[in-house]
Amino acid sequence: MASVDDPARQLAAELAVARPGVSRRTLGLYLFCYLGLAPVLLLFLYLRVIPIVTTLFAGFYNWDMIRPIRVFVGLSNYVELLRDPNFQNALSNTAILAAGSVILGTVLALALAVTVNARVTGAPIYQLIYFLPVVTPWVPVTVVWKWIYDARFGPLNAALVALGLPPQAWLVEDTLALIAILIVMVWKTLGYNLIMFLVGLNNIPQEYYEAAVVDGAAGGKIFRYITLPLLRPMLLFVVVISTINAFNVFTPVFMMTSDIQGAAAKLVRTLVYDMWENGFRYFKVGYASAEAALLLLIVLMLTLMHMRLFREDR
Amino acid sequence: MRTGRPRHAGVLGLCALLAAALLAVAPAYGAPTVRLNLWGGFPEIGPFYEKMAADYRRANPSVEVSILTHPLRDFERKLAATIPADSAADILEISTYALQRFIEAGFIPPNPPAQDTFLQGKAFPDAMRLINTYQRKTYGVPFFQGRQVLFWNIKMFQEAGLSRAPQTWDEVIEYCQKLTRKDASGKLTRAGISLRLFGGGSGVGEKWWFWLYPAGGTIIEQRSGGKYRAGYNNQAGRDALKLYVDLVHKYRCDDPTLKRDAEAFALEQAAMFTRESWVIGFVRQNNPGLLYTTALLPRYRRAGTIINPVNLYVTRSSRNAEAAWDFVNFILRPENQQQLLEMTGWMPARQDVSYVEQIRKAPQFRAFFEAPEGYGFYWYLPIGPFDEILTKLAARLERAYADRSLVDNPAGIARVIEEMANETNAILRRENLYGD
Repeated sequence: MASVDDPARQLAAELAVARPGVSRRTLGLYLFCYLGLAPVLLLFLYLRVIPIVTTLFAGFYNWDMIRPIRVFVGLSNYVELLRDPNFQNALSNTAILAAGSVILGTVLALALAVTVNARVTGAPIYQLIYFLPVVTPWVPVTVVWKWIYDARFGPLNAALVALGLPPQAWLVEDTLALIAILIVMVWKTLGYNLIMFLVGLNNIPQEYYEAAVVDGAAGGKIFRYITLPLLRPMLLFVVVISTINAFNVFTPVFMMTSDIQGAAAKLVRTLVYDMWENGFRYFKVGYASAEAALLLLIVLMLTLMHMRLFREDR
Repeated sequence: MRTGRPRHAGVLGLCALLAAALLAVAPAYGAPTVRLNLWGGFPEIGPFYEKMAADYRRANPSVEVSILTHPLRDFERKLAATIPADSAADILEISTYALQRFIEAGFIPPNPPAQDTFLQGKAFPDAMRLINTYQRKTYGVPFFQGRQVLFWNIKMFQEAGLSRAPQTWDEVIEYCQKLTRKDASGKLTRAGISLRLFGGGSGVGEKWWFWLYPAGGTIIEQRSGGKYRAGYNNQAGRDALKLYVDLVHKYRCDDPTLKRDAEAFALEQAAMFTRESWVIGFVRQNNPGLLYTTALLPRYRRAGTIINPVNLYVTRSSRNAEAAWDFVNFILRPENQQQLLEMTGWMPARQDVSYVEQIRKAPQFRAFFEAPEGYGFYWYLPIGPFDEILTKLAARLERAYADRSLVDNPAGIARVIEEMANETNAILRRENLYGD
């Protein structure tokens, strides 16, 4: 039998006092949960965390992927990047596409969600129609859009001419090519944002609206003082996800404006495209990794900014 | 019940024995003992390879060759992922410049003595030997080549009162204006000459090279001590850029919204353009009735064309290198080189083979085999960053071609050329290859 002076017992007694609510049963439960999650966490670590950390390190090296030799170059990849006109062009294009698609994609989706939510006849059909582009793979979608934008034979220009407007050199002129890509991005993400907003709208308790009506509020005021504040978490989610997706835009620019020999399209260089070109075409993996690190930093900063902007206590 | 069990066991045992015996003798009855893979970057050559594989198997029943072709850019990416991992095919079909980095890194073994001797002989142009030599060892055997000529539409030329292709830059400017067609609103409906203004990355730079060379320049010029520098920061570079800008904006011979390249030519939306011999196969498939022919590239200060061999290499990871080289030798037999030209339109690499019959059937091939006195040849220098240089140059050229303010603006053109050359030299400097 252990005496009262036994230090181990004493420590156990102290711990029991310090954590009166944690029983052995609870600890066992925690252990069970963590063990259950362990395979997924390990996979996440292996497939996500380690590649990200490796990429961050690779940005400080000159490495061509082919040879095992890596030369430490410090910040010189970053210095070179900031002077690189292709990177500047890619950054500016990506920023325009991201800003445009996030603003347009959010505002339009919100407007549509409010409209569809207001007991419109056949609302599920509208939801389905708007959601179809989300589930359609990027590659066939971009092929169709490329045809739509064709300056000579595209239906878009045919429609413009029918309306008495001049045809445009979509995908050929710099600004128009950027606008063309932006339209496709908004079209593709609109349905997803719409569904998210509909979920948010359906979660707002009906009592708030009834109380507002009793207090004499209507239309715009209800939207501003009831709907919008209560949609804030969903708004934050939509804006953050849209920003991340927009900064990672690659498939539409690759499919519609690049690498197709002799095609009537001018490259809209974006960050991921530039990264891909540096890494897998020029074999400058260190340089491309530095670019990836900058992209991560930009998206991280924007996400934090959004979280601050949409904070609940504001 | 009891009596049935041993009988069943006996039947099962007999079946097992039979199956084992069949497995043992199967290879001897048609199953290949050597499997080879060949990867290529030109899908239009796929049917030729399939035929070669079938012909080869008839003579060598124990060897089976599988063919896989991708569009060129996808293929280059596939190589980047598989060669360092030693999981690429036994035989690769690719240009020297695209494989140079892998050769320098030791992923591609040098040629065995027989192939080395073959390449050093007279079967191929001297340029190909030079292109395929790195540190005094030869790599790969040339299979076909990309030479550029001018394609011109005979019917359109006749309608414009022209009886032959332009032979000088002045004639290019004069002819293309006569050949261009516009609608009532002044919009171009047919290009006098279809220029590569964008698309295809480095291709824009390469197509510019075909005008830069006659002007007296080149993309990268070799200096002493194995060093290089931009070869176009000179009058030749300025002239070649001015020609493009003038053809698009001043003389309006081409419009970016028109269809481009071989497609435009086959659709009769372009009266002339420059390209390799595969266009002959393309037109045969897509517009067999097109009345056209070919001519040497127009001269300015000098004349010449590119010589760009596409080679067959055996990788270091091949477990059947000897069989792989034997299949390469089979493909390079004279009769198969002739078949290649006939089936695909691609110009074979061997110069010691007669192609008279193929030229008789398709006279458009003639210009590809012509090399008059003083007609020069140039090629991609076997240095790792060539593709990066050409692709980045292409991005700047695209912007310059779209810049109307460069018309009659020598200072603007000189500035653009200077900036492009600075970038080229910076890449060479980074790779420790620059020498002034």
